[in-house]
Amino acid sequence: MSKLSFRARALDASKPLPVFRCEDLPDLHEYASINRAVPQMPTGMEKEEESEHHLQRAISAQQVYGEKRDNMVIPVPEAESNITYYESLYPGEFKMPKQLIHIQPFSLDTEQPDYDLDSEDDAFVNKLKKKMEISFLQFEEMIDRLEKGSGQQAVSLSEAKLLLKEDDELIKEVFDYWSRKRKNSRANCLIPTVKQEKRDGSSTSDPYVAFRRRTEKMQTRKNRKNDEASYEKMLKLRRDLSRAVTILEMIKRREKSKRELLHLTLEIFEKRNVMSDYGGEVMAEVLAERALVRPQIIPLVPVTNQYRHQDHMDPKDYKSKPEKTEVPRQKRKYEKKQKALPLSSGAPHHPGPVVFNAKDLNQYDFPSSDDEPFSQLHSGSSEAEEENDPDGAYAFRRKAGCQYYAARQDRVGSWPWCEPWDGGLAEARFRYSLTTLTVPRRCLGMARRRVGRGGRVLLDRAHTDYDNVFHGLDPEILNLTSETNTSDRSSSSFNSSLSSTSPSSTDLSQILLNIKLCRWRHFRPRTLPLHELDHAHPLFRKLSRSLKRPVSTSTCVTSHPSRSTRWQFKTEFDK
Amino acid sequence: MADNVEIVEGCRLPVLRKNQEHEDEWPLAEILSVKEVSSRKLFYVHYIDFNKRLDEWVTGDRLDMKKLQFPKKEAKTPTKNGLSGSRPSSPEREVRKSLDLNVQSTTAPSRGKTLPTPKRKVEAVPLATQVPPATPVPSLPSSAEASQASVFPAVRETNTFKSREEHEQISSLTTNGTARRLIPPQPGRKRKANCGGTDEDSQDSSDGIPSAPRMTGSLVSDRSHDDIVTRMKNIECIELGRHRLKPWYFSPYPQELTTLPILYLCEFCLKYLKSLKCLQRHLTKCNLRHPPGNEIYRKGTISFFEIDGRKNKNYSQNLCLLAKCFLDHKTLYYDTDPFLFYVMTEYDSKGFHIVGYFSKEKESTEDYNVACILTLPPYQRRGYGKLLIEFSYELSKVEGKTGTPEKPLSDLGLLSYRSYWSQTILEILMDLKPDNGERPQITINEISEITSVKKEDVISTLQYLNLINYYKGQYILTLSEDIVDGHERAMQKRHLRIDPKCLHFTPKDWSKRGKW
Repeated sequence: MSKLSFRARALDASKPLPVFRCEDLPDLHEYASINRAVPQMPTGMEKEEESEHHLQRAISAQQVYGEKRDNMVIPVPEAESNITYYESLYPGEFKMPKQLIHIQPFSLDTEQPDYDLDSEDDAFVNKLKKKMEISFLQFEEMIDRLEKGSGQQAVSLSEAKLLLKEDDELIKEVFDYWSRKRKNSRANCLIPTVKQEKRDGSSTSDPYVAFRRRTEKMQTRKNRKNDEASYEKMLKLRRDLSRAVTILEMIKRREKSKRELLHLTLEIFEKRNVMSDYGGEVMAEVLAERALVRPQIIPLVPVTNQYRHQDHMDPKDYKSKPEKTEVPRQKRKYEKKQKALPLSSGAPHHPGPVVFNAKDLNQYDFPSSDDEPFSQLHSGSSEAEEENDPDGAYAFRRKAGCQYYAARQDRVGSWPWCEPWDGGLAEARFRYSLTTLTVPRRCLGMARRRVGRGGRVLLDRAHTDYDNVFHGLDPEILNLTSETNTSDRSSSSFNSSLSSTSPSSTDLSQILLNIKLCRWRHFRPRTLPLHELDHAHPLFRKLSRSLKRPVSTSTCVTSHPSRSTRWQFKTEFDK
Repeated sequence: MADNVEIVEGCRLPVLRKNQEHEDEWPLAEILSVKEVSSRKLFYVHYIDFNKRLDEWVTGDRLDMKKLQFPKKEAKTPTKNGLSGSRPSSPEREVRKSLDLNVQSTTAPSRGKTLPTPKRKVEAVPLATQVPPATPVPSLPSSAEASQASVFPAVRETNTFKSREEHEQISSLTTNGTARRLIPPQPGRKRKANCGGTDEDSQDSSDGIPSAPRMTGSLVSDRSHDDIVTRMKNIECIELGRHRLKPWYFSPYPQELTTLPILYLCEFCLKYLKSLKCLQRHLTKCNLRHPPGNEIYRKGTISFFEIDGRKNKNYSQNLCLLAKCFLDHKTLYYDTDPFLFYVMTEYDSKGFHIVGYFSKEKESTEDYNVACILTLPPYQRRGYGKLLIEFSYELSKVEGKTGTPEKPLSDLGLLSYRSYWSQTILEILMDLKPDNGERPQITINEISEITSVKKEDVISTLQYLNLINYYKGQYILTLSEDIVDGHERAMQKRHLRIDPKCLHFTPKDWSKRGKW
């Protein structure tokens, strides 16, 4: 009995168990007391039910007698199997097929009406039969259709006539009968059906509702991923399509512009012909004039995506472009900023929906949380250009509203600033003159202006013997010279006899005097102190800007290109 | 004597019934409902500690009024899961209503529906003998509780009655409504013990909003959706082919059919019809003479038909409605899509008559190879149940899986399965031959593999049969003479067997189909 103190090992399902007959183990009873070592398994029944009287009696009877006694079985309500009319109810015989029965799909969908005629109907139909022709099946079919045609609300007679193909008279009779019967019935339906769940979920605990769809949870779980993926795909598709639309728009616009350009060129040609401007002087003059005043034509581009895209670009631009690269760049950035800000007043860094105006909504591109602003960034340029763009953010990009001139091979300088021997006009105001920049405030010495690419105004500096003197000049002294001179368009009547190369012979005091007397041209571009502004507090920046240029959003849209070029023009003077 | 004392739902008292020897016995019973039929009161009683399939309507003369116990006015039994919103109104009121309106003689009990009513006031009318007032009665099964019930006064007028119209309105809903909360659960009552605190329990106990039950499986052990309606049988009698069946439990047949004395079913398609006339008409249109599925087994007159719960919804639903009449824990909450139904039939010249069936999840996450299983009452105790079980394991063998029936088992289910398992395992053990003179041995896993009976069921059976013994440092299986004799006797009686050769079954991989 000392063995009792041992704890029995857990029963191992993979360990072979020797099978003994009890009679072979006479000493088994000595070990019997530790049989309980294997924990009892649950029966799988509900606890309360397990203790039910009849079950317990049956179990113990089985354990005592080894088998159930008849009077120890669990009693159940009686069932009878003596329906006398069974034979007549299910007439005929059914021969067992030799083969296993195989149901053909859809073979069960019979066209038989679900409605089954009852004795009341039977009486009605029999009565009706005296008046008109109708069969039981036909009647059932009619009721079936009426029932299935009605939801919560019963069909009306006119609807019934549409549902049924019988004679109107018959329909009327059956319809009236059906309406009456339906009204009297307790259920809302003459074909008894198991209650369906209600959409609103109010039937969750209704015991008579059965066979609810279980799709909800399972389906969503399965489909949610799908939905997300397909939603993303749809978004992408929409974006791509709207991009395509944008590109096509742009192409259309480009081609229009081309045509316009052609017409204009032709017009210019004709005009020149009329003016006999065969040498191109008038033309050059005009161009030079334009380049200075408003070097760009106002583009025909009205409000478009493009405009918005630029707005979009701004904040991005700010981030992606290093602030400190070259000054001009910075300036340009600033200039873009200018465009954006008036529109998105109050939210300068939010290219969100605020920026859109009503017209934008007519475009194919709607603001979407998914559409990062950058995606539209380059839509102005062609895809190819975009793709093999090695310079990235620093690549040259066409700018809306800018006119770009092709390099001229034929004639090096029909420019107003070129010397006559270069084929230029050598206009007085493009001659080398003393030049002082406002920012940084210093005198550069002799320089001349010309219009460079993109309408930038470039300064060609000339070396003179007096450079040291010039550079040391206090701009304030020069300031004394009349205000009339300060303008870049100064058209002083005083036509200095000094040629661009002549100052060498003059001494300093002479020069100063000349300047002061406005006999010498002194070019001082009206450059805004942009550095300061740029680095100033944004608020200040805005303030100063708005002070200078109170813009209304509606007009700025069209006026903007000219404005921007003006700005550009001014800012380029830093060079 | 019942005239001066009002018997309300929740009362307990001995009720006369005949036992199997046709002797009188007076088991304690609980009144679940009261109705009046042609000015005679009928009481729906549940015999405590008896399965509720024996619940019945009894006349007043079968009640032993001397030992009447009034329901403990349970203050606020912690509301069981969600039903607080739709709790039956207070019993007293209900009874009064039914008294007021003697109209509803024909209204069957089950017409009732629980009404959303404001929480029952802890109406402390009671009296002297009352036990600690308003002490919440824990809903723990405890047989002691029965005796503690306080005695109620005969008539209570504390409840102000609502206007007449309102009574009218509710009239069709009366009689049953109430008892659910009234009586502290007793052992033997079907309600689940709160103490168990099973998962399902805790899941949907929140906020009184009944949440939908889990979507897998076919049985509920969680009775949170159980109310007085489902505790009572609602169909009096079902006629199916040659048979008249007395349902054992509630089944959600269309409510308008529950008042009928007999519900007629087409024997082959199981369609429910309100009258014999309708059945006759239906039979002129229904040409089925076998369950509408593929026959996958036939030996002699026994056949099995496989029906896809998704493809043949009508039949599957009709079958479920019928089966629910005899399966307490079966739930019809959800559709039949994820189930296959294996209907066993017996052939005669009229066709293939349904004997029983089992359902099976197309994909079971818990190794269930049977969801619900039922032998129709007229065929019970003739070996068909075991045949169904055997067939279910044959399918598992073809699938190469072990399986177990879905829980909870019913009493009859437990007995049948234990019997099948015992015979199956003993058959194997007795057939073991000594190997090279060595004592025969076998692992539990081997038994499980051979029989497709899940390991746990093998172990529990071995335990139940008391075969596992610890002997000289190891476990052994011992076969006593009693066991051997009993088994041999039982096997002689078991002439109905499944012949695996007659099975034509190829399992489908349902997981690949996406949908069941």
